[in-house]
Amino acid sequence: MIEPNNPEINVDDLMEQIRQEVAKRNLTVPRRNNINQNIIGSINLSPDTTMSVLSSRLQALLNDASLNSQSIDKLPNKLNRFPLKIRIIQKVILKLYNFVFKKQGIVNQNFISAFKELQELTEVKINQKNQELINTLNKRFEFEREISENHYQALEQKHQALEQKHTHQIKALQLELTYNKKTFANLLQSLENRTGFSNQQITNIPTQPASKSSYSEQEEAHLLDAFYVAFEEKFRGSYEEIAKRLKVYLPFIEQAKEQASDTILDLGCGRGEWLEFLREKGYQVQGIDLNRMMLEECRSKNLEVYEVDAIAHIQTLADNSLGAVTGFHIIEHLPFPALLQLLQETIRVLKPGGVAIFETPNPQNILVSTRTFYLDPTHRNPLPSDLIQFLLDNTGFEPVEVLPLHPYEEALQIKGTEELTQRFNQYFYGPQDYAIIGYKPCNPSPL
Amino acid sequence: MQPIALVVPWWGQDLKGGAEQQAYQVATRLAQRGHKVEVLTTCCRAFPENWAVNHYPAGVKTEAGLKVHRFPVNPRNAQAFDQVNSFLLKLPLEQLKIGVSPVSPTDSAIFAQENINSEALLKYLKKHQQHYHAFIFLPYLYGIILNGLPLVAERAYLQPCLHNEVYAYLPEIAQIVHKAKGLLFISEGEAQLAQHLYGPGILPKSIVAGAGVEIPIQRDTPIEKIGKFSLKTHPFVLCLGRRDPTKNTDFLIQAYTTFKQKHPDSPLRLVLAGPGNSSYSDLTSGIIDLGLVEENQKTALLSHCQALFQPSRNESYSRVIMEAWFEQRPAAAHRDCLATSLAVSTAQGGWLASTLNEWAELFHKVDQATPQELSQYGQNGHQYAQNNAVWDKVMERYEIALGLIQEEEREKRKKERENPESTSLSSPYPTPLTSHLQMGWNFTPQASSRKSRQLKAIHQLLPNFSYGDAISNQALAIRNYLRSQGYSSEIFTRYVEEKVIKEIQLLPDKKLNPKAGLIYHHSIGSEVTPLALTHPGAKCLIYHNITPAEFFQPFDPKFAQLLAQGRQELPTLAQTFPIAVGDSAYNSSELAACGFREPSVLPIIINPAQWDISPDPHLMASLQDGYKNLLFVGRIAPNKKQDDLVQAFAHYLTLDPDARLILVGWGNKSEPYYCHLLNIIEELELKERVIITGKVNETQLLAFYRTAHLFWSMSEHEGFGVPLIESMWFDIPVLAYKSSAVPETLQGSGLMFTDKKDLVTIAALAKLLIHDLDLRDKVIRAQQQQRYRFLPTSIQTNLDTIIHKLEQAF
Repeated sequence: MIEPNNPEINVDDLMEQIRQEVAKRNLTVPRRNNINQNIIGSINLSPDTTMSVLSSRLQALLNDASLNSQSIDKLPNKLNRFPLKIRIIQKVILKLYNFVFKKQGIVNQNFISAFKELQELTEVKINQKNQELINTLNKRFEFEREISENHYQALEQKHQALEQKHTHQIKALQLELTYNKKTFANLLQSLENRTGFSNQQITNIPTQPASKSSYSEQEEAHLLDAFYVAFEEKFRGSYEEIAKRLKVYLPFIEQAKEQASDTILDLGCGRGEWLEFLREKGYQVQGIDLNRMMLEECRSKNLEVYEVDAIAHIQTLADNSLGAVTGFHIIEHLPFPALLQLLQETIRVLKPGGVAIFETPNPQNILVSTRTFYLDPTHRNPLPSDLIQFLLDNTGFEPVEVLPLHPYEEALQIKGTEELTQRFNQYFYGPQDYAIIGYKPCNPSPL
Repeated sequence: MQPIALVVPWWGQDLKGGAEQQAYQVATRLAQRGHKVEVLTTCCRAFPENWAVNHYPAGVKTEAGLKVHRFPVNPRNAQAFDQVNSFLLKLPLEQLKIGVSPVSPTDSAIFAQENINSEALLKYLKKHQQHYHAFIFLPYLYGIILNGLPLVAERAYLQPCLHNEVYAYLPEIAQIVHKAKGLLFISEGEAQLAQHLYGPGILPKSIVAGAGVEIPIQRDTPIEKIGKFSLKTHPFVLCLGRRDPTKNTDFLIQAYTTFKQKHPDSPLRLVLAGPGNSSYSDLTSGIIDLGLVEENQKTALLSHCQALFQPSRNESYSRVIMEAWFEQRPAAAHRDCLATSLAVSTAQGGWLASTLNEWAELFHKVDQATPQELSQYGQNGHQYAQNNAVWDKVMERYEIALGLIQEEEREKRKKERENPESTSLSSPYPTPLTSHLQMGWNFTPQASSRKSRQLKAIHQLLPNFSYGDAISNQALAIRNYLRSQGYSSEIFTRYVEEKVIKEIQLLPDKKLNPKAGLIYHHSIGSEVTPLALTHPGAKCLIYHNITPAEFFQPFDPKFAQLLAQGRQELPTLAQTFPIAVGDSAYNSSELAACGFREPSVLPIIINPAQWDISPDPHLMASLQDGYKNLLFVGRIAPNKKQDDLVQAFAHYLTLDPDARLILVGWGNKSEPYYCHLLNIIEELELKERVIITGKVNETQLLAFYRTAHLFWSMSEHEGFGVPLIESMWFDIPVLAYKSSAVPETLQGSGLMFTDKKDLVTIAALAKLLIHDLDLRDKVIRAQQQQRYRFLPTSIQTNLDTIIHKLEQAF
């Protein structure tokens, strides 16, 4: 490629340098003042030489004709041999010449213009043809594209539907499994009950609503009502304080309302703060409690409340009828089997998407689990959050969430950053209560 | 012989300053050799004095055997001058462009006018110029030189003592450089600088005479001490000369300090000596400043030093380096100063350095070098100085340059030159500028007898004659040669451009003498061919090649037809033209193939003297804007393949976007190929980057050549390729497609590629030729050797052969 005519220049080295240069070149070079077009594209097209040559021939001929068709203003040098030096003679000859050839000149100019127009005309025509071709091609393309787009959509939909179906089926199977597990557990329990009946007389496992309790016992229970009201007033906090605390549950209720319904049942509604709170927000509320005096207070606020046992009441309700079931500080009053039953009934009566919220003291807090819990003599055992979470999971609630609440105020905590201090604060001055929040899953089709 | 006059602003034996000393030496020595020398100068005393004050009385006095005319100085507007001068001095050197004036015409006129001037001196020149054989003006900067030289231009020689400084770029300077009959340089470096600034047009009239250095003869008592400084205790590096920042003395001090920091235990000292205001003495760090010293003290310093360092970048010649070499001590010069660095590298008498660190390293090198190494360098330098800086040799060169030597003398010296043992005039290190110096570049008048002459006239016949056309120029050169040989010679042509109608005889009005010899320039058949065929006298055919028809076939079939016919006619011409030549062996081979008998070769004459003019200033200003200029000179024609060139250029832009393509050539819109080329440029969107110049005049063509970075030819058919050689004179690297006569013209120079398929590769090659300085240097060096083949003197023998053959045929 390179002629080795200079002994000082090593041709191979030079070729290598060239290769390196070519490798590094920048293919989209912006030019000063120019549009940043892709030069390489236009070069590689290698301007169609035949077309260019032919058109340039045409142009050249036209240019030449144009030049020659103009009228002359000086006699050609050839005629210098004749004695025509006198200006007037020259002028006359020129005038004559131009006069004679005037018409021809016009014709020539017209021809030249005609040719140029013809050239333009052909170009326009070609462009038109091209454009039409492009349009038809585009239309075809669009059409084909739409078809394939539709195909694609259809496939997508099918795919999604299949997926959903599968998810539902899996959920259903899971629920069934849970249900079977529970039934099995219950069976076991009742078997045990029957076999160890005599030993467990005292524990009073109510598998049926209040069948064993006599009137006197009931009346005995109500004797505590008044006491309880006073007690509440002293330890639980004023009405206003309670209302403040209840606000935190609103988002969960709202979500349930969206997915299920806005009917809410509050178990152990007490003084009715929660019911009132919800009613203000526009929910349909019901409450139940066994304390007559509490109930009276509720009724004085025009709240729909019933004096009835929680489980008994729930059992009367239809499947999938409620948006939310709530119970604040009730589950720690229930015997364990009752709690189980309560949860089962709760999930039954909830609409899909409905929520169950139970708040109870947090045994992880040492002060609570050793002292505060026992301030209420009717409390049974502290209920760890893991246990209650497991219960709800097992019952079929999904998702289940534990919400830690009400830590001691900061002023009471021990100051310091060492690990011992931190740990101590956590265990002694951490959250005093927690709430368990469980949703009934949507689309549960058992079988 | 009439006297020689030296025109200088100040005159005196004791004047300080290189130019003043040079003037004194040249004048007195020429007088010593027996020539009549006069001095024309002003009444002003010296450079530092007030230039408007007359110190000496006006009149003629004889001093040291010379007639010295002193003329009173003009009053001047010193303020205006100082204003322009300080403005000039503030301009940064990097911004100056060759051929472009750094100030407005008014300002440069002020510089020339309010300079040191003498109306009386100028009047004298005008009145008495015929009485003098020649004038030597030196140096270049002063009013009397700038205004005086043009008055006596045909006898004027300029010794500019040029530096690369802002003044050199003023248009008044360029004017006197071009007007002068001859240029005398004191060093090869200065000559190269002048070539760079003023173009290769000055080469034929440039002579590096050199400058001599006085060798001190007496060494009575060897000097051991100068003041408190003892010469033998510590080794030292010497720096001689005026001590100021423009001579880079500060720079050298810094370098020495750096060296001392790295090597604090070194005993090497730095000794400064010479005139200057500030004192640099700092004994603690080893610098000793002796101030102004006596001549013999200076010699002693030189003979005892380890080396002489000359850090100045502003020298047209370095006397002190020569002096050091006469004492056989090595010297160091600054790489960026052409004059000194060229001398040191040619002589191999020392070292070169440019950056501060390099100079600091040099101190270390000298410190560590063995005495033998230093002596070796010193001896190399001594030999060089013997050949170049000895006054006798220098004065001989002056005599030749000024035409003071008679014919016989010249012959004698010519014989001495041819004798390989003689080392009289040419230095053993032939530099490009001096190698052909003694031969002279113009035709030497023939001393041959006229007895063998039969012909009284030899005319030329051309179909058409145009301005700037290679063939037309060749015809003119041939005509001038024939006339110089005593023949009456005219150019007859049928069609001529208005511009040059005076040069020719227009057919068919003028008649051709049938007895005259005829040289017929043939390219394609035309109206004049029958005339040539029927001419009864002795005739010779010069074949300039007919473009092969296939190039024009796609574009202009009619013209292609004409071309084909032309080729067909050649064998018939062979019968009637027994004598034939071609511009190149390529052309001659075509002749031989057509049946011509033993065709010889007459290459086209290319003499750089045609460029001894100032280039077009507007073009010079606009072409030196930082963009690379890629040049091709040639008519817009299908065989020249400008369309391929434009396409390759488009690829070039992807490698090096800041470039433009200049097509110097003429095209007609009525020609299909021209339209085709315009179309391609349009399609590739290169309208902003490709310039088609159309017909240009000589100053414009000169501007294009002076500013071009690459000459790029994609031509597929050339009968000779004149622009290839022209580019070589401008040191433009040539990149050409190997075709037809191109390899023959280029020989071992330029860079040729053999296939055109891969335009990107060719574009990359072009980029390398511009940007890879090493490659560029190699190519240019080869080109500098080859371009001499086409000088008039080189071609002379070929012409003589033709004349001889014509004479014989008569």
